[in-house]
Formats: sequence, structure tokens, C-alpha cells
Amino acid sequence: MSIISIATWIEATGPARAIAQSSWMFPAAETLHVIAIALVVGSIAVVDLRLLGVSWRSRPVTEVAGDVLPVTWAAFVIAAVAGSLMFVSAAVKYATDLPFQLKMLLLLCAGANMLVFHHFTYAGVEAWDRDAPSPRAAKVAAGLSLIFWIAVVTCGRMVSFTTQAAFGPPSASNAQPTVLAQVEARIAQP
Amino acid sequence: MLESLCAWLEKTPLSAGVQNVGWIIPASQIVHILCLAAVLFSALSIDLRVLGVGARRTSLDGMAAHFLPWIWTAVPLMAVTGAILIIGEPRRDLLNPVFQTKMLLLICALAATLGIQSIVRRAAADRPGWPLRALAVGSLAFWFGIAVCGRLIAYAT
Repeated sequence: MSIISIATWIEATGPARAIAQSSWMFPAAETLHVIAIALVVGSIAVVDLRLLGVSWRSRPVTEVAGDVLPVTWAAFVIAAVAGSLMFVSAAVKYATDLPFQLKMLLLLCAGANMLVFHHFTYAGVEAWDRDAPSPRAAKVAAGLSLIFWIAVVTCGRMVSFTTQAAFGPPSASNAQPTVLAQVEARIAQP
Repeated sequence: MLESLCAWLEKTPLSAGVQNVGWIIPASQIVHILCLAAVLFSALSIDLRVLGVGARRTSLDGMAAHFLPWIWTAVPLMAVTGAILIIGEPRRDLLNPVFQTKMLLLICALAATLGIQSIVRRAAADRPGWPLRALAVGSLAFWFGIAVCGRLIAYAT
């Protein structure tokens, strides 16, 4: 059971093939994905900049986080769903793409950073809620968060450059290339 | 007229440079998307506050004072990165109806944002009247419409 055999199985399923062969499903998922990611990064940046003491220093950390993080979570769920829809439609292509693998690794790093921060540092937030900047551990988490998420966006953009150059159309069984393949071929033209 | 502008632009050394120096287009796109993150979340925060949705711990004044500067900083940067992308591939953008729609929506979004800014500054009321709320709905529609068009440019070439 290698990654490639799992990915091959995934992209052969009915829903995955439907997305690959549809003219509108992939573009719709991709558009939703970019907007959702923009909201994840934009919202997380607000909290991170507060922890770093750069922005909105007048408000307690808990207030900023309390107002912002629900948007972050909702946007992340949407981004993950939309991303999964795109992934399954060409699972082998993405699973074997280096920028995509890097992006998944960076997501794990961002998640781990968040878990560590919430479990250890944020637990004692009452003591430094009104301080700006926050204590060193919080600032480190905030800085790492910004770095990881900017790197996620960067890798995400590179995925489209690498997958169109190195691979042909998704392995649909019909002869007609999908809209995505046509677009990729068009973009690859000089 | 646009056609001859494209023909002229694509012959310039600047255009060739943008296309041939490998990192320029991806870097411009990445900065463009990060600025989009700032603009979308800032507009969302202000507009939802106007419409009374979500947390109301911060006054409308406070929300606008915090987020408007982000919009006015990010938009010029998006204009610069956008210009680089247009110079690199003039026909793909300037002659593309999706891109043209995006520019029209941009004018509307900027107008709505200016409107919101001017009303909030003059009348620091926390119960927004219907003009302000209409502008907030418009602002959301325009900014998110711009984001949608931005992604669909590639599919319309």
C-alpha cells in the first residue's frame, strides 16, 4: 500500500472523476480555496501581530483572539474541504508533487505550533493579557505562525507551476482533455 | 486601443524581463495573494461590524480605525504587483473580460470603502443607518467578487 497506489485508487473513485471531468467543479473549488486561505492568513496575522506587540496593542490578547479565531476556524474548514476536492481529482499528480508535499508538512508545523502555544503558553494568558508585546514564548509562536502560513501560501502557488510543467492531463479515461488540462496547456505556451 | 497597448507592451524589454526572470511572476503573485488576505479580512471585519454581525466589543469607530489603514496599504502594493503581472502578460489580462470585470469591481470596491470611511469618520454613531449598511453589503460583494474574478482570469484565457 504505497502512497501512489492509494492516490491511484482515490482518483479513480466516482466523485474524484466527476470533479476531474467537470468544467466548473475544479475552478469553483479552487476559487473557494484561495478566498478561504486568504481569510485564514489574514485573520491569523491579526492575532500574531498582536502577540508580537506590533498591532492593536490597546486590546487584550484574549479579546482579539476571541473575536478573530472563529473566522479563522470556519475559513480553515472551508479551505480544507475545497482543497480535498481538488486533491482527489488528480491525487497521484499532487501526492507526488514536491511543493504540495512541502505544503502539507508546513500545515502540520503550523498546527503543531498552534497546539503547543495553546496548551502551554496561552494557558497562563491572564498574567500577560494586557501586555504588548506578549512574553517571549508567545512572540516566538506568533513569529513561527506567520512564517509557516506565508510558506504555505508560497508552496500553494508553486504547486500550480510545478504540476502543469511536469505532468500532462489528469488520467481520465475519455480522450477529451479536461478544462484544467486545457488551461494548463495554454498557460504553458510561451 | 487596448489591443495596440498590448502589442506595444509585449515588445518592451520590461515585459521580456518579467517573463524570463523565473522568480518575478511567482513572487508577484504570492505578494498579491498575501495583500489580498489583508484586504479581505479587513473589509470583512469592518463590514460585518457595520451590519452588526459577530462580536461587538469593539466600536465601529475602533474597527474602522484599525482596519482601514491595512486596506489603504495593501491596495497600492497590489497595484504594483498587479502591474508587474500585466506587464509580463498584457494580453492575458488587458484583453480578458474577466480581468476587465475585476477592474470595474475594484473601482466600485474603492468607492464603497471611501464611502464607509467618510461616513464613519463624520458620524461616530454605533447604530449605522441604511446608507452605511448598503455600502457595507456592497463592499463585501465587490471585494469578494474581485477575488473570484482574480482566480477565474486563468480559466478565461
